[in-house]
Formats: sequence, C-alpha cells, structure tokens
Amino acid sequence: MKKAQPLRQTLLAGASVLVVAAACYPISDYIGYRSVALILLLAVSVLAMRMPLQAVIVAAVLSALVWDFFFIPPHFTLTIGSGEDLLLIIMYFIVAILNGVINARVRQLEQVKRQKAESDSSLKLYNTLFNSLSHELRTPVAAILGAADTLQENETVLSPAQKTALLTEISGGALRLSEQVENLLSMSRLEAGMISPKKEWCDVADLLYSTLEKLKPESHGHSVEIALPENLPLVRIDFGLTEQIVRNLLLNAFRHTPAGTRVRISANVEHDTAGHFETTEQPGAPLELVRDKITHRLQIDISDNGAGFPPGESERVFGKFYRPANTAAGGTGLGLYVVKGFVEAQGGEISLSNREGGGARFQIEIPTPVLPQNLHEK
Amino acid sequence: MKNPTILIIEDEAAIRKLLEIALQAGGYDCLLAANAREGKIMAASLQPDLVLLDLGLPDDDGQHLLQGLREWYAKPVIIVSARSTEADIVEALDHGANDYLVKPFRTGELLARIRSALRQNTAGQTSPVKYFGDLMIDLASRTVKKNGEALKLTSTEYAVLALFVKNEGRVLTHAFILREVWGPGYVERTEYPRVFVGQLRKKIEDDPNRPKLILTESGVGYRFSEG
Repeated sequence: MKKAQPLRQTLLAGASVLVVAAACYPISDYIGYRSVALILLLAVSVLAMRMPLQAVIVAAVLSALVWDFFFIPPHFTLTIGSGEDLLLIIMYFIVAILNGVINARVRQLEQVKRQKAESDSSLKLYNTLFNSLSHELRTPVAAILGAADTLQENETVLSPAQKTALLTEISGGALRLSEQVENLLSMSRLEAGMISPKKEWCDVADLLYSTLEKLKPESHGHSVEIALPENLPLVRIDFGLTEQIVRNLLLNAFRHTPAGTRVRISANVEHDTAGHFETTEQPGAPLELVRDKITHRLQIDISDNGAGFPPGESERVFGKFYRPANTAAGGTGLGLYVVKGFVEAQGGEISLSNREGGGARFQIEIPTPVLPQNLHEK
Repeated sequence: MKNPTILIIEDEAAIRKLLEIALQAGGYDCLLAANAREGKIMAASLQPDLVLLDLGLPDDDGQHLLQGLREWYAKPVIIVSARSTEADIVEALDHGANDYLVKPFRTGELLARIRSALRQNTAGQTSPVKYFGDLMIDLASRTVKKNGEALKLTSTEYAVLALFVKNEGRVLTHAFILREVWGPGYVERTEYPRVFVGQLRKKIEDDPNRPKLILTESGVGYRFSEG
C-alpha cells in the first residue's frame, strides 16, 4: 500500500477503529472504560505503522470521539464528566497523533535510505561496467600507440626481432579493438531495435564451417569438432546474424578456456513438438505451400570441456557487460549479450548449462521452415 | 613490364595514405582521388587497371558514382567501405562492383583480392580451357575433369560452375546467380544456389566442408577463386 487510494486507506483506518471499539463495547464494564482507551490507542498505533499520516489522524480523532461518546460516562453524549477523563482524552489524542507523525517520519526516512542504497548500488554497478569497458577499449589503444611510438623513436636501435614483436602488438591490439567496436555497434543496433533479420534459405553446414574457417587464426591450441547429421535440410534464418552468434560463442570458448580445450559444435533440425507452430507435413504438398511454414527448430549446440561458468550464473552471463567474478582480462562482456539479442531477434532462445563432467554448453533454438536438399532439376 | 595502376577513391586522408603505401609495396602504381568528382575525372583520363572505391564520399553517393563508372569503365572495381550492411554490399555488387572489403580489413586480404580481380581481367580470354588446381574446365566442350577424371555434372550444376568460372575472383550475389542460371523469374528462389553449390562442392572440392574454390560470402553470395 503506497500512494494508491488514500481515501480507501482513510476509510479502512476509520472502520478498523469502529470494529475495535465495537469489540470492546460488550466487555467495557469488565475491563473498565479507561482500559478501552488503551486498547483503542493500541489499534491506532498499529494503524500508524502501515497507514499514511492523514488516515492515522482520522483514526485518532474518530477513536477519541467514539471513546468519549460510547465509553466515557455519561454514555451516548460527548460530555466529559470528570476533569481526569478530560485530561485523559487530551493525552490520548496527543499520543495518538504523535504516534502517527513519528511513524510517518520513520517510514519516510527508511524510504529515502532505501532509494539511496539502490542508487548507490546501481552507481557502483555502472562504475564497475564502465571501468571494465574503458579498460577494454583503452588497453589495446595503449598497446598500439606505445608500440608505434617505440618504432618511430627508436628506428635505428631496435633489433629486427624487437620490431616484429612491436608490430605484432600493433596488429593484435587493433584486432582486439576492432572486436570490441563491433560488439558495441551490435549492442547499439540491438538497443535501438534496428535488428531486422533478413531470413533466407541457408545451408547450416556451410554456415558453421565457413565461420570456423574464418576464426582459424584465433583458435590456436583449441581443437574444434563439427558434428552434423547427414542431409540436414535447408533452414530459413539470417545468415549474417547467425554467423555472428556462432562466431561470438566460439571466440568466447577460445578466449576463456585453456589451450588444448576441445570445442564441439553440433546442429540438428527437429520437428517442432511444442505445438505452437503449424505442421504441414502433407506428403506431396507443393513446395510453395510448405516453404514458408515454420514447422521446425534449428538447434545449434556449442560446448567445451573447459571450466564452465560459476554455478547460478547461467542467466546473468547474457547480461550487458557481464564478466565472471574471477576473470581478470579480456572482453567487454558484450559478446554474449549480442548473441542473445541476435538469437531472440530471430524468434529463438538460448540457454547455458554446465556439461556433466565439466565445461560450458550453449544451446540455441531458432524456429524455421525447412526444405530438403534434394531439389530436382528445373 | 609496367606496373598495374590502381585508382584509390577515398576521402579519408589517413586511409588513402595507408592504401597507397600498401599498394606500392605490393608492386602497384597508385592514383589518388579524395572525392567522387576527382575520381571520375581520373578514371576517365588515366584509365587505371583497377579502382578501389570508398562508398562514403563527401560529394556523391559511392553507389551512384559506381553506376556512372560502369557505363563506360569495364575494368575491376573493388568496394572498400565502413558501411557493412549486407544490403549495401549486395547493392554495390549489383551495380557492377567485382568485390568488396569491409573496413577494417587486413592489407594481405586486400592485395589478394586485387591480384584475383586483375587476374580475372587479363587471364587467357582466348582459351576456353581453364585450370584451377587439379580441376580442369573446358567451356567449349562443356567437360569438367578433376585429377584427369571426367566429372558427371547435371546441366544445372554445369551452368552454375560455368558462371563461376567466367566470373573468377568476382563476388556473385544470390540474385545474380539466379538471374543468370535460372532466369529473371527465379530471383526469390534463394534455396537454389545453396543446393546446387552444395552439390557442386561435393563433386569438385577435395573437402566439400572446407571449400577452396567456391567460397561462401556470408549473407551475400559466393566467390569462385583459386586458393
């Protein structure tokens, strides 16, 4: 109950007071009408803990009147017989109001404190993210600048081997920077909602093998195996986006697992059994009718036998700027964010689990129509 | 023999300088143009052997310049652009570009593409027999041999392969392949090139999964190239 419906809360506060008073009425002769005041005060105090100030004031005034009218002799008048009772009702009134005011203040302070804590933690989060991003962008720039300056200023002193090392620094730094820039550009395209998949018939084997081929220079020390069933049908997906998905997942595996780690890519096309897609498996139906119906799911599975992800992080890894707690360098934490965005842009889903026996396993599913590869000649 | 001349149309001075040095080191003579107007004049008056064209020029849209060039300039044009959307690339290829490179790219890659484009332009136009590694294609007798053994290709497979061979080194878009092999009514049937390229690779490549001749250009099309 926050700012919503102050009138309702006021009525509720009044009603509570009346209910408590009614409950006290039959027993007031046994406990004495002054005890009733304490019970009513208790009720108002309880209300003050949850209700806004105005409701508490209404409850305080109402309870004072009710007490006076029904309980203080003479009954059923607002007349107060003794000076003691007059003092009591004044005290009652002051205590009830104070109760409301103090409670409201305390709640207000608590809220301010909570908001501050929230904004502190989001500021801290932002700072952490920003630090990692600026580190990841500035480090390669520093490497490039430093190496280039050294080459320029010490042209004659440097040995050929030193020159080669510096040149390797320059191209390595530029490559890393280029990767980060691509991810940042993809991120802003995703956030602007500018990703509209261009779905075309694709040969999954061609997509996976050509993506892997381009990453050959980066795969040093890792062995990659592609396992595909025979005669995988064509699927209708965005080639470029899917290539980027596979590329980022492979780069991720290459960078965050030790050399010698095995990476396995497998893919399959499964008939959609979830039932929310139409099935049109009528034998002999003309291709034109079948070709655009989403009846299947393309599954791509990329796993490695490295250390895997920390338990409980399988959702967080897809967050923007995510980095596992214990990793020192490498990556802006955007690669997997972009992967998830590109999968979802195609109507698909991605999940991460740790393999039995260790290692990370990414599973992607993208709904798609299929087309058998054995087309006839025209 | 005279070095081939390459015209660089690029507005960024740093990239122009870099390209000039890299190309000179690769054994080419360079002509430099900083905008579309200069580029057009230099292409017409100096007749370079190849044009490297940046799509983002200050005074004219690169696509428009390309269309204009193609009305009279038949030699290779390679697009060098930071605009990386597939749609831009496909448009440029449809306007007659031979190949494209998206910035940032490696210099080695650029030189390989230039070599390939120039070879395509000068390679024995006279002989109908072409060799690519252990593959031999005779366009006159419509025969294809691998390691001296005749390959059995279907008529569509042969038509696709012949199109690739005639456009060696050039990136062919899916739509171009469909128009040339199947006809203008088939440009939407994007499954055809996938299927027939898959079948061709099984017959002509040593490892169809790691092709050396018909290379996939992601989301754009294919390039036939030796090595």
